[in-house]
Amino acid sequence: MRKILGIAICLLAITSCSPKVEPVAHGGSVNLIQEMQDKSTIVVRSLGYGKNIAIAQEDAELRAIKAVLFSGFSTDHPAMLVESRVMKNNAAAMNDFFVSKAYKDCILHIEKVGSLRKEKGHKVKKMPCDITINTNSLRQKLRQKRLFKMGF
Amino acid sequence: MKRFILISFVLFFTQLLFAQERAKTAMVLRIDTILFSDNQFNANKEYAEMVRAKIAEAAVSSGRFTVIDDDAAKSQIKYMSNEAFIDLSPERRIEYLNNVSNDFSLSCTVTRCQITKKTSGASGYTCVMALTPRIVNTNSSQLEVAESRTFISNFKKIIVRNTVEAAIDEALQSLTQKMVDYFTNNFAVYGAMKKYEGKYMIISCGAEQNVHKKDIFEVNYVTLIRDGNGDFQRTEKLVGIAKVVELLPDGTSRCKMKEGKNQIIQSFEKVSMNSFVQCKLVLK
Repeated sequence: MRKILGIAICLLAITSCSPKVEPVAHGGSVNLIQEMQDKSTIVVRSLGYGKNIAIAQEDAELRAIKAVLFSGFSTDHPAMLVESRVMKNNAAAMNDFFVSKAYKDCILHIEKVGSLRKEKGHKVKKMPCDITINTNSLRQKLRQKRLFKMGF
Repeated sequence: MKRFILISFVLFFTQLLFAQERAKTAMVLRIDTILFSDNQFNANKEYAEMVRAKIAEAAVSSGRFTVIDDDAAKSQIKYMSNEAFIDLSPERRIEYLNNVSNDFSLSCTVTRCQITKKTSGASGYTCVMALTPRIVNTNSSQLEVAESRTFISNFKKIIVRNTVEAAIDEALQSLTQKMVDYFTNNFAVYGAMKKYEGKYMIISCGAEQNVHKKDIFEVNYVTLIRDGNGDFQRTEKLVGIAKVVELLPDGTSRCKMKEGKNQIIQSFEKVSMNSFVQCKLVLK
């Protein structure tokens, strides 16, 4: 009985501590709103979803990084990686990049530009954030993980 | 040849400018010519400079304008024909031109400048002055006069001054507040929406631009779309109305979203490099 209880507590601890970094599937938008003079620093407005501010902010960060990596914004800021190719060839490294939250090092500043509010027709709440990202540093991180070259 | 290309380039981009850009709150006013109807005053440039300085002071005090003088305009033109300018990205060039190009141009005619030498009582000079500024919207293709009216200095309580210059200055001083009110009441202030908190939003203009509590702002969603010729087409959509409830110490204002709250928030959430939420003061 004690063993079962111990295992249950361990499982509970593991599941509650494991990072939930996957963005929730509620659509959303990420737009480039400003680029600094050196072009390597950009500001994007990202909508984050979640039941509280912390989760919504985390979600907004992740969406912003995913948009920079896989979608791109313009010819000056194209996608850094081809998602399907990276997930096929180096899914473990990519997942590790997100799970370890290595992308957070490339985020210079986060500003909450709106309050957490409920979206009509959805159960979750959303919050817009302006996120400043250093794309040079992000590219460097991807190189270290040997992801940057692999994407192309 | 290179200079010609640079100047053509500058002119081309100037065509793409819009009066009220994202970061702009006050309009840029260039004070052009100051002329006296009576030619004897035109001979002395000092008088014209006094009028120019007073108009500039009133325009700046109103918070509606940033004034550029001839020297600043010349140095800007010099920079724009410099290679450093051409090396900037197109977006940077447009941003620079947006910030420095004048939206309005003001020329002024001093229709009356009557100086009287007092010999009885307090000796000295008095001055009664009437001036008519004409303000032209330089962004309009027709260069029509946006505003024009005549101001007359206080002639009921004339103060005697020792010199002609001091008398002119006194007359101009009595016009200052009238001109400040004129600029404040006839020209709008623009601000960009910076954030929202519940039913309140923060806009980028405030006390510095002479915005007051209870002022009403139109909230527009502005998009700039490049057409087939590469020119920017500006579209503006009214999304709501906001009322100023508090002027914040950092120069911004807190406004209550009176109408179209959801539309304002939705527009704000989808802004990008080519779209923004702009608030325009509704003139009383």
